[in-house]
Amino acid sequence: MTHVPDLGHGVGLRREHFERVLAGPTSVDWFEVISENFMVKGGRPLHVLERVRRDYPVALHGVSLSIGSTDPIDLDYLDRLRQLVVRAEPAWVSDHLCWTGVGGHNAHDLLPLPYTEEALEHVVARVGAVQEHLGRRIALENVSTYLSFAGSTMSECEFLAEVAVRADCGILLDVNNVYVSAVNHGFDAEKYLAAVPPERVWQVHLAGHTDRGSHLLDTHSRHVCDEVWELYRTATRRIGAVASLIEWDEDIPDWDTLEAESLRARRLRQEA
Amino acid sequence: MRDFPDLRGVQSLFWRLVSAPEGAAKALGSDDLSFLVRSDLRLGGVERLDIYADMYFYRLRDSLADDFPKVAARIGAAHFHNLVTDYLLAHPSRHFSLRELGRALPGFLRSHPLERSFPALADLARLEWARFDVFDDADAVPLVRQRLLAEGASAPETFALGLIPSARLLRLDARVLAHWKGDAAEPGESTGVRVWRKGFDVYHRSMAADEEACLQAMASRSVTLAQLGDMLGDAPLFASLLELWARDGLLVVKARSEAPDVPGR
Repeated sequence: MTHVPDLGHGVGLRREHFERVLAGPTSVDWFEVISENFMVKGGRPLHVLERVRRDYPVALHGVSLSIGSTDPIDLDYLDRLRQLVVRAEPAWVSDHLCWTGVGGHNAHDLLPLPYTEEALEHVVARVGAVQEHLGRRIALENVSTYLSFAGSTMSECEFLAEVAVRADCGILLDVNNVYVSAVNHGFDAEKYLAAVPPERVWQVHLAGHTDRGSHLLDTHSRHVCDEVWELYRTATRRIGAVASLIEWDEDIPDWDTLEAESLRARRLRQEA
Repeated sequence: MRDFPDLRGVQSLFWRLVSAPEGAAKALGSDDLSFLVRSDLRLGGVERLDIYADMYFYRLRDSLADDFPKVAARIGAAHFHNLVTDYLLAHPSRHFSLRELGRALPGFLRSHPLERSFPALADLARLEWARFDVFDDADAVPLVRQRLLAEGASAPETFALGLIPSARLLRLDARVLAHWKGDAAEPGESTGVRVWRKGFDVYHRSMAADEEACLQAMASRSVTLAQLGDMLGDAPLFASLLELWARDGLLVVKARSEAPDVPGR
């Protein structure tokens, strides 16, 4: 296992906060950026990334790798990701354990996989190919899901752990996604956390969700709820000190609110 | 009950159902989905698929509304919703980046019925896309006045110029500029419009025919200062345009080896 650094407590870098972050010191330790937002030729996004990178560690977090798709791997995407890696020198590169399209189409959504041996072998092979192309290991994040497939033969956490071990990659453990999926499917979130191999976890995500009555939706639009903070406490005791990251993508609050959320993660980890 | 499909089959069926404009339930018809998706007391399988179908459409609609706010405002929410439905059927996203989703929308609008109800809508979309497209286009070091005076004046036959990468030259229905400001406008001629990024800010403005001809020439090849002078003929006009282009950061200096054939006017 490659050792990954504990970057401390960070937030997702969003354009609403560019000016504040560039203006001076903040209390956050690091930033995560959405890779695709910076796969551009020039202009303000790349300028901001370079300025932020001078002062903070940065991790690249993608949404379009589509590691579970049965379409061929998009080599143009991988080449552009590799160029961004050279430019940003990130602490690590992550994406999602999902698929985003098929037949050449892109849904721009994190779609669920059936947890079958066929899917497992498929994903493991593709993670290997991606890691070879990038010349580095990647981490994969568990996604929020709203359905489960009739043909699944293993649980989500078994699938996630098997992918990580067989492909020798890291896990980006999204605690909010564990909670959302646990409620949506009626499984025990604590048991899920207990089944995740702690030595594989590089990073933890924390975010808010929306209760739609019949299901929870992973909206990243509000504060982390108490139940997720409690799961984070449990995860931290089990996994130890790994980097945490607050994601807030809709109804984005002012910087102080976001910073306070990150400080809460810091406090909880210290207590744990 | 049907057997559970292989991974390719799962993804193909999933995609067909969640991208159907009428929603997963209608696309499925009377077919039973229990071979594919589990149901429970909270939600049935089709309802669960519809969560993804809704997210698919609304995410892409909202993204296009962000990229084309003037078009969305001009036609209103209901028309824009239906336009996106039509557009996604004709142009489902094939690129990894949402940034590219709207690239074909201006062309799509040309033959869309909304163009008849809202004249010059396609050209308004072209202007919005051009502004969006230059925002993160390649950087370049623009020609500044001091260099123009220091190097250009002494060697006009070899001092070659081109357009910065983050510039676009459009020919638009003249009403678009009024619509941009939210004003009504009578039908009129088409007009040349340049769109460019200076620093991190994006601008557009209309051009007279002389300016348009020069910029078109520099967009397609590098042009020497002397050639530009020949194209314009009028020395005061030439001087004022050079001043304007330098102030707007529109031009780059091309290597002398790139100095090209004389462009015709």
